[in-house]
Formats: sequence, structure tokens, C-alpha cells
Amino acid sequence: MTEINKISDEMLNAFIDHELSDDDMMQIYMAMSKDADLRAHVCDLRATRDLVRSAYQVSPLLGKAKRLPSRFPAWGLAAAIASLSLGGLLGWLAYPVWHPAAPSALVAGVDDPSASRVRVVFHASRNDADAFEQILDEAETLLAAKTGGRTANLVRIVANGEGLYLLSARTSPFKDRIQQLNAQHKNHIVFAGCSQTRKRMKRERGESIELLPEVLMVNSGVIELLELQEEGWRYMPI
Amino acid sequence: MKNLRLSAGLAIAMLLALAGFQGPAFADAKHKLVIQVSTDDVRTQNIALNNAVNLQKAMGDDIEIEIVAYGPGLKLLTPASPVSKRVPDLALYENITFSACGNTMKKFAKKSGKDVKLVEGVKVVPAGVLRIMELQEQGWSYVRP
Repeated sequence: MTEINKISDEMLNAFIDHELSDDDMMQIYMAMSKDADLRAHVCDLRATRDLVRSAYQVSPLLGKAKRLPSRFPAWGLAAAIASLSLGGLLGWLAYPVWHPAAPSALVAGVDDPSASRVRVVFHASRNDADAFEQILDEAETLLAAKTGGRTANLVRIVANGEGLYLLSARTSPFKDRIQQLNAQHKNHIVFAGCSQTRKRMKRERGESIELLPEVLMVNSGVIELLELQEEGWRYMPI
Repeated sequence: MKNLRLSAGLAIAMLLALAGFQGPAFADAKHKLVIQVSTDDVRTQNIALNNAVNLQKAMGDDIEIEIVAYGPGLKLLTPASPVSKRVPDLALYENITFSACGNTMKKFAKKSGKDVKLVEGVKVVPAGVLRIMELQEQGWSYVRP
């Protein structure tokens, strides 16, 4: 059971359209090889995309309609609705086939809201070493606390903006500590860096930030924070 | 059972198809995020707005965003801040709201002797911290850049 299998639909759609970097494509292939639910989900997304595409070929709806006037717009519209409806219907009918069990692994990783474990996501958006050290201290305390004889608490540390420097292989003052925490509390702590920030820094400053090997790249740090809170995680900013 | 599944599926599919042609209903947005701005640091204020823009781009109608400014962060919503130029345009998005803390406005007014002027598109809430708390209690996620 891994807790890093959470890949956004946006990312998966980009994957289907071959718009990701080789590294990201590889990461998703790896995740898919281990996760049947993820494979089914990608298949699902791909089917939806193909149906939408075929609908657009019949009659482009919305903005594109102006450029490509159809002589029978009503037919195009009807075909589009029919395709969409068919897609929804097929998906719904096929759901029990593709998902013998609820697709929980895709959504929540190891989260179990009924357990008494504490799940905390720390957010580092500034390059503030003192504040980050406090985060690491708090994380360590949380991870050391035992419930029922075993470590049950979960910690995520999400860095975006200037906070990304704290997870950078070149500039992080906490390389050893991060490596040690990660090794000692495997599966209970995840360090995540925002790939949007990384792209922006490349674009705006020509700077390419290599993250520490322990750090997982997520598509958007903010969306990660949003979704974890929706799953019941407690949020702690720097 | 098969027939039930089939007709229910058809009904759902048709509803889904119809829903696509109606206006967006932000009250029912799938994701809700409140962003706190409590500092007058221009860089942080810009990041808060960038977060909102990027989320809007990534999630479209699936997200509702409220930016709550209080304390020194209230400046973001007044013409005094260079960042506030960006606010009126963003406020035009139906799913982005700006909320100014009423308490902070009173405090500012008392200090300067004149009413605080807000840029266009901003609404006033009684208290910023209270607003953030209320939204969180209603299931909103929260980010402080």
C-alpha cells in the first residue's frame, strides 16, 4: 500500500495526450503497473476523451462553432448529446465490471478516517529555514507518537513557491534530516514539491531546481493541499 | 434489475447532457478554498492572487475561491497597494470572491481619521478570522500562502 498514488485527473489527461515530460510519463507508467484501479481509471478517461473528440468532429460546440459553421447544427448538437449520454451510460454500466471494489486506493492512499490517527499536512510556501525546522520537529513528534503500539500518524510536507528551495538537492539545509526522516518513517511521511512552481522558476528565472531524491513531485501544491483537507487532513502553514 | 439499471442510466445520462447546457452553479462547486491574506508583504499578496488564478485555470467551474484579507493584509484590497490593481479583474470571475475584514477597516479608519477605500469588486465581512473559521466549518479547505 503506498500513499503517493494520488495523481490528479488533470495530470492523467495530460498523460493520455502525451503532453507530459518523459519523467512524468514514466512516473505514471510505474504507478499504473502497480495499480489496477488506476489503470481502469485511465482507461475511463481515455474513453471519455475519445467520445468527446468524436462529438466535436460531428459538430464543434461552443467557441469553435463560429469558425466551422455546420449546415445542420441541430444534428451535430443531437449527435454530441447522444455521444455524451452514451459515454455516461456506458461508464455507469461498465462501472461494476471495471471496479470490482470501490476505487479507494486511487483516492485516499492509506487514509482511514475512522482510525484515531492524526493526519497533518504542513505547507512551506516561503524559503524560511527556521520555520521549516519547526515543521520537521513537529513532524518528528507526530510520527514518534504511538497509537495502540504502532506508529499511526501521517505527515505530509508540501512545498511550493519559494518554499521549494527547502526541498532542493542543491540548496536545502535539511538534506540529511529529510533523508533520515523519510527512511525512518517510510510510508508515514511524504515530502512533496509543486511542479507548477518548478516550471514557473524555469520559465521566469531560467533556474532548474533538482529536488531531493526523497521528494515526490505533485502537479500542483495548492491542489494537493485542497484535496488533502477535503479528505480530512489538518492543515498547518509555516 | 437490468431494466432498472438501464432506465436509470439513461435518465442520468440525459440529465448530465442537459446539465452541460445550463449556467454554472457555483453554490455547488466541487471544491472550495479560502485563501488568507494577513500580511502586507507584496510578494505574498501576489502569490495569493497567483494561487487563485492558477486554480481557476486548472479547475474552472469546479472550484469556488474566497480571498479573505485582514490586518496588514487588508492593504491588498485598497488602492494604496500596487497589487490591488489586479483585484477588480479577478473579482469579475463568478467563482472568485474578495472579502475585506470590517474590523480591520474600522481600525484603519480610526487611525487615519477617514474611511477606508476599497477597490472595485470587494465585499465586506464583519471579521476576517471569523469568516475563515465559518467557511472551514462549512467544509472549505484553507490555504495561507
